[in-house]
Amino acid sequence: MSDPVDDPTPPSLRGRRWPLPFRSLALGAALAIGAGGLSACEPPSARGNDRWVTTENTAVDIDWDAIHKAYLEAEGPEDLERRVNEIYTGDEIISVSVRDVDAKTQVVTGFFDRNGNGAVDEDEKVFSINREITGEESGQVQIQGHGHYAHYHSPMWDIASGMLLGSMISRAFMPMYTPMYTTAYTTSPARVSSLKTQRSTYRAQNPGKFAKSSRSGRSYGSKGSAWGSGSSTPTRSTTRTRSFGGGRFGLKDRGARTRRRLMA
Amino acid sequence: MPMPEIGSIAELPFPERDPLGLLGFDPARREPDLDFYGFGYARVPALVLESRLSGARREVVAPVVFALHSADDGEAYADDVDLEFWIDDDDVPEEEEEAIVVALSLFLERRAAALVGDAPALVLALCNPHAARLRRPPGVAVPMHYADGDVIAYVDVADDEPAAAQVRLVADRWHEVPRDNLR
Repeated sequence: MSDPVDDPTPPSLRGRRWPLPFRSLALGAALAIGAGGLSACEPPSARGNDRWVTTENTAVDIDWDAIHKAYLEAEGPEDLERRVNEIYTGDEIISVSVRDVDAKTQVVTGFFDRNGNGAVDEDEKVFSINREITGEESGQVQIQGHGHYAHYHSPMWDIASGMLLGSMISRAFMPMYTPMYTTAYTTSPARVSSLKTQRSTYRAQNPGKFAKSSRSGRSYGSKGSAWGSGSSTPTRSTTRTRSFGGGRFGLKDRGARTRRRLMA
Repeated sequence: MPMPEIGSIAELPFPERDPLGLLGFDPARREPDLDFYGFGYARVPALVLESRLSGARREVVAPVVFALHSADDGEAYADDVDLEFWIDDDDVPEEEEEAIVVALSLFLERRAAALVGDAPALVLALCNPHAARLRRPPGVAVPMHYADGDVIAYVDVADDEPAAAQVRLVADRWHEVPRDNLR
């Protein structure tokens, strides 16, 4: 006989922990493209948002999937600035620097231009997007967080000329393409105020996305829609937990393998 | 050169592995790997055993975990499970690869005691589709935990502690083999 384990130990997340081999292992996985629904056997309590990342010192969250999408669909740097600032839920404006390193490589840096000098200073960086053209019709994009978001490393996302792409990327697949931003485009300090106005208008038109609850709180934007049900929307005092699936310990399709039994 | 044929349970490779890899975690994947067939053992800081049916959770501290696999279409026994070991050999054509089948009771009898050593508990990460009632193998004095139904591993990472994780094994129900149930 055996005893069922039914003593309902509180589902503490503060028990003994495993060190992860590198700090962004799980976070990187969380943001992998195509990481859509969760397994049916995952309890609702463990369901988290696979797209939002918060760190201890981060003022607000950044929806990295949305940043990725914004870059893919942007028609140019100014359009990207607008999109990025519509995504960002904090008070600051994220300035953007776009630089073509060579014919294949583009680096986009998002930064808080705190000193208003219109240049990217190291401590102002929020994220960088690296785009590499890898073939006639293919490329890769990767996002790296900086500062408070330094733990975030996206997977290497593939891009292809057949995808829905804005002209900022798609022109790189055109014949006779020559890089446009060998001299970097950078959001000018003068443009910051117009971006603020533009974003205020956007927020006013989309109040459900920007339920600002606390000026002092870490959590600024409403993430209800992103988290699914309202009940799982985090509060300032709630620690969010994300779950990642490992292996299943059963076997189904053994393909062409033949079975051989060992008896001793 | 193909690997020499495995002729006995003692010859089965059953390596100690990195715990995260052993349980099928991959930093590039969020969803469970339903085609995972890795096996081996590891000593881990703790495991949370979660019953899918009741929602109960229990933490087992510092166990040895055996990652094993049963076949979904395996034979039903009241007190045993057929294990399958899929051993890849790059030098063997795919159509000639084997699934080595071993009764769990035999496998544990031959291999468990040496691998458990002084660990305070043994956890079997193993699907038990027919809800067989298992016995503790000879030479293993510590509690043995096993499950009914599908067993899937999850790792939970809290936002405020991204460098550490809690690992859960989720199954229909978990059992602890009582200490006096020696064969």
